[in-house]
Amino acid sequence: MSVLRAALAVTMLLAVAACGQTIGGARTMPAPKTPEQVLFETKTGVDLAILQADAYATLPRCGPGVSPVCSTSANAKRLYALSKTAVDTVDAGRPVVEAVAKMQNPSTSDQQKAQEVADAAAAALQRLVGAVTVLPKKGEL
Amino acid sequence: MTIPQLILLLVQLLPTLLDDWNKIVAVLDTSSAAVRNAQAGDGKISAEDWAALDAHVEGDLARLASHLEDPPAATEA
Repeated sequence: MSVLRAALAVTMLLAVAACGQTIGGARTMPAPKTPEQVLFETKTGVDLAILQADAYATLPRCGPGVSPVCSTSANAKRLYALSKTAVDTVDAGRPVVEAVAKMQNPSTSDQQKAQEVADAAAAALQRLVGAVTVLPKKGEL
Repeated sequence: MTIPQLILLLVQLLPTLLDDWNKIVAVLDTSSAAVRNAQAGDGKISAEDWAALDAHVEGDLARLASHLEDPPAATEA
C-alpha cells in the first residue's frame, strides 16, 4: 500500500467514522429522513469526496524521477468530471425534492419522483467515492 | 522509497491532510446540525443551511479545478 493510499485511507476512515456518528445520531430521531434531507447529506458526501480528489490533484504529477506517490493529469481531470457530475445531479434534483417537501399531501407518484432524484444523486456520489477511494494508479481511471 | 524520502513526503502531505481534516469536520458539523434542525422542525432543510453547504462545495470544486493543467471554462465550473 502506497503512502498516499495509506494517508487517504486514514482520512477516509476518520471521515466515515465521523459520518457514522452523524448518521447514528440522526437514526435515534423518530422521524425518517425526507428525500430532501437525504439529498442534503448526499451533497455533504460529495463535498467530502471532492476534498479527497483535491488531495490527489495536489500531488506532484507522475513523471521520470517523481516518487510513486504522484498524480496524473488525466486522473485529476476525470475526478473533477465525476465531482462536477455529482454536484450537478444533486442540484438538478433539489427543486424536485423541495417542491414535494412543500406539498401538503404529496401523491405516491410525487414521493416516488423525489425518491428517484435522491437515489440518482446517491448513485453519482457512489461513482465519485469509488473513483477516489480506489486510488488510481498512473494511467488508470 | 527510502525512509528519509518517506518522512519528507509525509511532512509535505501533512498540512494538506490537516487542512482537509479541518474542512471535513466543518462540513460534517454543518450538515449534521442542519439535518437535526430539520427533523426537530418541519422536516425541511433551511435555505441558509443549503447556502452554507453550496458555498463549501463551490469553493472546493473551484480549488480542484485550479489544480488541473487545462481547467474547465468558468461557465463549466
